[in-house]
Amino acid sequence: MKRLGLALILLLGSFGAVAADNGDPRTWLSDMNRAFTDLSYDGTFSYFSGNDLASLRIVHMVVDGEQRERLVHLNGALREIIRTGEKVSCILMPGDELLDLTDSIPSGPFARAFVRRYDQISEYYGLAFYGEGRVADRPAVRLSVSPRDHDRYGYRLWLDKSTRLLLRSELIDLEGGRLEIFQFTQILFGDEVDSADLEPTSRAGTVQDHFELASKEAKPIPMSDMPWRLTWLPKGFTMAAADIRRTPSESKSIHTMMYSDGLAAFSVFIEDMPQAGAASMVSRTGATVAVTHLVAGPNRAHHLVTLVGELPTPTALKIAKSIRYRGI
Amino acid sequence: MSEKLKESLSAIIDGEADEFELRRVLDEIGKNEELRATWERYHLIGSRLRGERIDKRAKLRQRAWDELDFSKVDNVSEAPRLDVDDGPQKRPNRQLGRWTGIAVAATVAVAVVLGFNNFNTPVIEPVQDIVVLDAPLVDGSVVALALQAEGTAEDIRRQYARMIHHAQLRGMYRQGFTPFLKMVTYGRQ
Repeated sequence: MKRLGLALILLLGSFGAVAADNGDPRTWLSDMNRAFTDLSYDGTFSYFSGNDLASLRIVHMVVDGEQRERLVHLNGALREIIRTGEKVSCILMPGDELLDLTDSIPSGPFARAFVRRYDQISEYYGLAFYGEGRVADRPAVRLSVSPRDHDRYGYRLWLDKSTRLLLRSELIDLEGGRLEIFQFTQILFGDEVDSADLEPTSRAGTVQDHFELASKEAKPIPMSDMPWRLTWLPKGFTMAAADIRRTPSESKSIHTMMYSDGLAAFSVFIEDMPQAGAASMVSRTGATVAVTHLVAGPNRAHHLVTLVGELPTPTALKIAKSIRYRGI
Repeated sequence: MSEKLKESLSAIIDGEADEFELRRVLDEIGKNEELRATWERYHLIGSRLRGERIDKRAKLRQRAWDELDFSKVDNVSEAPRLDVDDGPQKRPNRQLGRWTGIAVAATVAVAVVLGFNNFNTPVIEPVQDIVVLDAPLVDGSVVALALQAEGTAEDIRRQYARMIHHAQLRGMYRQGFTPFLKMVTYGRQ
């Protein structure tokens, strides 16, 4: 027992030494966020989610105070996402499956979501440094983000030692399995990044699809106007955004609510029962689960609820089943 | 139970059934107790060989899903179809077709009929027992509904649209490009 105690002291002592060197993990997470938005970088990375491994390129710069970003899928038919401030365009080839979906997605701009800081996430996740590593030939500090309950996933993060940009991340399920992996294979920073690489690929026949992420003009709708409520939420999740929108194709009203605990997030979409289909179903792609369910709404008419989020399936089901119409 | 029925049942379990054999079993299994028992027994044997614990009927549906051969999903147009409702047909796109193909796979079709003998009755109450798998999944009762109508492809399309919408919402909430990864890789999984 004494030996165990000594080993624990040594182990804790060594973690303490690492922690002392690196400071507060929460600061590293905040710095990681800042690095995403403030730095210039151009890198290629691998992304594993579900069953497939994708290769992508990201170019990011701040030009005249505005964020500009170009995300390119390097395999298959051309597909790029161009972001200029809050405006996002998808550059696609005709017939792209993604185009089929956009008619069903309410168009923005949305009221800007309430972004939580990392101060409170240590109530729901254990944060710890666990050594150093090397990613894309750069030294990295490893950070583990372990959930304190069964209602959220964990992460292993590799942050660039000098810039603190995220170089690798693993999204970990409750059994320790890796659901998603993101990892830079090569990256350039600062002056090595050329602004010409922010321009979309010019190729004959491409089509563009635009949407706006958020707008200062759009005001969030007051909670009192949202007729739906969740009667059960995992600890730490609070509403980050709410909106009532119409889809371009069907002019159908969709009530939207997004919740987050600071790291994980889920969205709830509630709409009238469609003419056909309306199956209750659960699907999963990597860490993202989607639950479609039925709920009684005004006049006890059935409404369709779709919950999408990076959550364990039982948690997503429990939340979806807890949705109630005001007054019922 | 006739030898032909037994052979058809074996063919379904072995993944070698043609549409005619599937139809033969589906027509019979709702009303033939012996056939139903044989189906469950075949699955119990398979499960014991794999060292699984046997319990509820829900597990049967789970196993039926487990046994789906995902490598065959490209043969969507050849998948057997239950012609309960011949509504207007739309050719599903590749991504949706993948799941449609899975939904009409033979073992699932039989499991659905077994699990829900009243599958002609639309189920509109919230479903309590949702079968959960690693791949996109559907509760047994819902498969029954989906097989009757054109709902399946539309349901999946709607769910994907909401997934993309969620990615967009995350994009305005979270710093960095990572929320858009789901968008840019959509359908390439």
